[in-house]
Amino acid sequence: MIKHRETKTLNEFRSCDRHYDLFICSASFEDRCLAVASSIDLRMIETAVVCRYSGYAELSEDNNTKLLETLAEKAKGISFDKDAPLSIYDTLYDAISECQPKSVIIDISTFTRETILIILMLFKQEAFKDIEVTLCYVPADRYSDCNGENNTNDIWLSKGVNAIRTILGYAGSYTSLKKTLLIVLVGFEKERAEFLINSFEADKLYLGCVPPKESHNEELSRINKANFDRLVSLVGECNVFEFSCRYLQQTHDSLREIIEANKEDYNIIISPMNNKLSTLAVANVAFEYPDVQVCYASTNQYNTEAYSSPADKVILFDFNNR
Amino acid sequence: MEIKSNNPFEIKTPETNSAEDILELFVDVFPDFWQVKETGHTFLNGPRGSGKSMMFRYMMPDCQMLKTGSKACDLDYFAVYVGIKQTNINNTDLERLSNHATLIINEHLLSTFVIANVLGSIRQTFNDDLNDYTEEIRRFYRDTFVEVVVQSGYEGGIEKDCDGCEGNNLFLRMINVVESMEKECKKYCNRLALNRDLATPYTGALTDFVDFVSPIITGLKQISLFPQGKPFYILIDDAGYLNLAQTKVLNTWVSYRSTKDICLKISAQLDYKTHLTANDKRIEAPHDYSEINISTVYSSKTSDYNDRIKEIVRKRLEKYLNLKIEPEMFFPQDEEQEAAINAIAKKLAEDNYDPERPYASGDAARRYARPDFIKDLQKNHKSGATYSYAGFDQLVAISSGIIRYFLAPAQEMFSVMVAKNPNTEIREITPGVQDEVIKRYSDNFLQGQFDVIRKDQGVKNFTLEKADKLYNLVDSLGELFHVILVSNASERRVFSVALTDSPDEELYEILDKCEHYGYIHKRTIGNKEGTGRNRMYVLSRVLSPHFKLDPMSFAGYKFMDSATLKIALTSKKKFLQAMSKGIAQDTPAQPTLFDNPDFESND
Amino acid sequence: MTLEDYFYSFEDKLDYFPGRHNYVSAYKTFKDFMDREVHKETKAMTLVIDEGDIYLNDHSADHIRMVIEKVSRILWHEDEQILDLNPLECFILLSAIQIHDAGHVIGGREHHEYNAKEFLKRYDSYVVGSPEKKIIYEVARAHSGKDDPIGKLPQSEDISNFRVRMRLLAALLRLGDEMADEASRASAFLFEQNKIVKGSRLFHAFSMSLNSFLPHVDTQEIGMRFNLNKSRCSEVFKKPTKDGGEVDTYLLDEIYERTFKTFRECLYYNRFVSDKLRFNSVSVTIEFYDDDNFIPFFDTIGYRLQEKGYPRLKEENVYALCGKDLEKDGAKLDGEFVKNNMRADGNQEQ
Repeated sequence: MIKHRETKTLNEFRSCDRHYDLFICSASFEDRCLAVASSIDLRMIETAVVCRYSGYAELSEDNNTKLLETLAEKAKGISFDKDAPLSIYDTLYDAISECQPKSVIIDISTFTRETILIILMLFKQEAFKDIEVTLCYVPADRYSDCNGENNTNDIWLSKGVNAIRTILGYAGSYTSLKKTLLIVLVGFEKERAEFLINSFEADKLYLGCVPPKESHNEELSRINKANFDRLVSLVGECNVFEFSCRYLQQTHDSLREIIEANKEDYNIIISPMNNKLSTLAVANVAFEYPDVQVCYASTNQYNTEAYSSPADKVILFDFNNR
Repeated sequence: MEIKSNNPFEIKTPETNSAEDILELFVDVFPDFWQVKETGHTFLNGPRGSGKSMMFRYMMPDCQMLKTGSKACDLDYFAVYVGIKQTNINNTDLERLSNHATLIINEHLLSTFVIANVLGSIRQTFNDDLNDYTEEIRRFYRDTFVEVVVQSGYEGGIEKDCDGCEGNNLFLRMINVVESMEKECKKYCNRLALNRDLATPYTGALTDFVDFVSPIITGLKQISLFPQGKPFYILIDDAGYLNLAQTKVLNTWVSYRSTKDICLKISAQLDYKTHLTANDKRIEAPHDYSEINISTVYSSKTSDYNDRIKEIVRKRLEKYLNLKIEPEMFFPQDEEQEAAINAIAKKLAEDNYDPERPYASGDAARRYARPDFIKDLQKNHKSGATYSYAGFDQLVAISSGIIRYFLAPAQEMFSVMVAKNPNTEIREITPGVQDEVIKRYSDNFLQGQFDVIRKDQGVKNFTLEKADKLYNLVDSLGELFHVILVSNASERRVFSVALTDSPDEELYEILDKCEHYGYIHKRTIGNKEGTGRNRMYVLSRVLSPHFKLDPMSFAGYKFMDSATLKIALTSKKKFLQAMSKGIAQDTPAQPTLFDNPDFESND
Repeated sequence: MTLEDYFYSFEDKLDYFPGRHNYVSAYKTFKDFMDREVHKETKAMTLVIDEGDIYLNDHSADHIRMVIEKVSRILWHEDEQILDLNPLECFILLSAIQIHDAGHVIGGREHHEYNAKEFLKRYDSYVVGSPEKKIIYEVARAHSGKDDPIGKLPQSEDISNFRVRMRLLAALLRLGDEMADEASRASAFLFEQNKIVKGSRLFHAFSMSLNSFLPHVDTQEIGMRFNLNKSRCSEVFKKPTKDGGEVDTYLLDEIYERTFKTFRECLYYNRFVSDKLRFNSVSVTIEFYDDDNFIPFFDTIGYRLQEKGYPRLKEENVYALCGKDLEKDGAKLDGEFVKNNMRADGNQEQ
């Protein structure tokens, strides 16, 4: 299970004296990927693995270089295709095996949601389940489009769906005796959610939205609400529930309630489409209910010109992977 | 909180509809797709929303019994539904099998999946009526089912005694056994995926078509509940979701030609992965199966598609709104716009009158009236007026032969009308709302999936992603056709390009992707020299509002070589520059032999 | 060196097997079980007259050994190892050979290959998993039948990254089984004592006359040598027919028919193997002499079965070859038919 440990500012994080054998992070086109690595005291870590998605190598080149420079001789770079989950799993598996760490800290801020879930499943395997795992996350503070304007009505982060697949290790269980229930934790990407919903043609649909008090900031909350309302008008019949972008347990509880009410009659599929924190809650639910399937809609395009500013905070989680 | 809908155009999955609803709503399309009901294996291809699942639902025994008033045993075939959803049989864990027993394990998964669904489909159709056939079902269970399960190596324990079990419960027991066999294998695949050790032995049951699926179906057929001497039709819906190994296995089943007992009716959304079998042979039409491509049928000149949509809309209006009116009245056109276009048409007819060529005036009116109107609007863009896509005929044309592309925007139009007119009976969708929604739908059709990221692509030196190139291609073609529409070319109703040579691998791949997303569809036409056929790519009419094109009548196509088209992948500006000469000189656009407004291509 | 000897040489080389499991040891245990418990029963069962009047030839451990020997001869090239097969494939093939006829113990001649699954359960599942067992079974099953059983198999399947070429193995088994039909298979004593029921005498006479049945890999030819004594030459045998009757047949005529079948099996086998493993002809020599004085009482007959000239098919034309593909409503889909049956609405054509 993943549990919230504490939230620190980046400065506070810098002066933290906890030691880790291995630091894992992702080089992204988003500058948010630099926040933790820049704040980390190199004496805190033995080795570092900087991951990169090969399809975006060019766009993430600058940040990749910065990360490798920042982490200096401790760092090793690996890359994988964001649409090859087996390759992601195997590459990480090998990298971690090579280091043989006893403790790991992972900056999940700019990994894809799929990769995060794969990493969590990896650390539950026999070879790694004794490793102490810490997750850290830097939320986005605000988004702007490529003109530097804050025209949030036109903000988009990703476009389209190129494939829908189960996340490696989270196939769940299916029986023809039950109908299908789809739960979507809706975020910015309304079209992606709509495509996913239309593709599954579930017998029952739950759409999750984030009330303002559960969002990181008001602006993001407004965008989410507008997207959500539009999505509801497009999909027709559905059930609506609330979840949190800030607190793991709240999302976990909301999902648990839905699952308990429906698991006898439905094959349940969850698609996390909001922030990484809510994705962690989905992981918790999947570990608690292994029959539940978690799926992912891989995107066609990321808006690499729109940038996100990192919030001045790092949220730390303990992952009990035994 | 549950949100319910009373929208007459709501798209519900056919599986969720009762037989009564289906019969009320179904418009008989089988004259267009007669092969589906004939004995033999059939592939039914078409984009999502083109009516495949509805056809399958209609073929199910509950609908057929209701329609014909007969019993199941009197039907011409007995259909069982096997719906492949995105992730119910294919999942990421299976990728680990690529170097380990992939065909064997995937065939087992497919066999158990199909049989579980066949048994489930029968149970769902007949429920407790199965108890009337308990003795026969028991005999089938003892003599066939138990035998094949044991032979498969199942060691989960199967209870051979069934004397105390009624027919319905016996079916439930069989489903549980089969699913247990499937689950055991999936658990193994999950373990293998995560521990990476391909030497992990699999000790569970393994099933296949020859020793499992076929004997079970053949045995089931003997039960007098089912039509004797007639085949089972296994309706496999959305087979494009199968992985490559599962697809090859399914093709191998098609190659067995078991059609006396089992006919496979397989639907896919143009995403079927291969026609190779597990033994690397290719299944071919027509000797192994018959094939239908819905888009091709519905986009040809003598299509009944327009009539089908009318009938669908009539039925829905009557069922959900109690309205008995013609669809044209529910979706009225913009009368002011049509009057203006008619005025232009009249003037064109007068100006082009030639007593020696009596068709010339009508021809000119048809060809140029609407384009001229659009051109005038563009000239006067400051007035804010834009071309309206309202009107039933325009909406049907925009839907490009795919029923969903009519219903989905119609659903939204209705929602908007309800929101604007609460507590009012909706008797029409106003032209303004139609226009607003269809334009948004058209924009979203492209930009919901792709968009331009880099505003000025000449500035930075980087490699464009495939998604960017795809967007550029579609955007360039749309823009090209719009430029032609508002030009002085003799044929302005151009909606497709014909390549004079073969595209290279990159262009081919992106054109393929475009077809996958529904932005284009592929055809062939005879070349100018009369020496063969060229590939033609037709832009989807769904994009007409987005690119400000006339969806009603287009017949022309532009010939170009693939090198020219390839420019469009990286630069719309350069592509249009390369094409501009041809447009200005009024030459390359090809008139058709049959200048029929409904005629799309020169096939 | 036989295929078995070659396979045994990998006993300590576990890297050649999936999971580094000891497949050699597993096979030895299985073989021992089959020899002790099954093959001797196969012989005993085939002695039991429960198949009507048929008394089958030897399907026992001797026959298994003979099949292995024949397959080894096909694969063995001087100074080279057993051609082409990896150790896992050797395991699969040897296991398939062990079980290919063993179903007689349970099911008799009819569908005997389908009953062989039971024996594979003897393999330790931890070493030999279900996929390997299925492959063994499918390879064994394809050793008989005329509905192109080998063609229906996948070309190959991987087991833990080790390739198994199923069609190749099935073809080797099938041809090896075809060739394992020599004198030792027949029950000579019972034959001479007239203890073989009349419906089976011809099959035993055939086997007894077949002195040598060998693949010559250097010339890519299969050689069959027969010797007929006066008594067998003159006897009119009763050959059972498919409709349950019987027809009078001379041994020589049976030899012609069976050698032709061997040639056909050869052509079928050739489809699934590489060029160097193919056999392009069957050479037949039939000698006529008695066992006691070896003086020929008739001139030796010799002939070679090979494809020659322009390929000829039994079917005379495309309609005969393609059958139902070119038929509709009982009529041929020829030009006349299409002309008379064109639909008014061309749109309904595909």
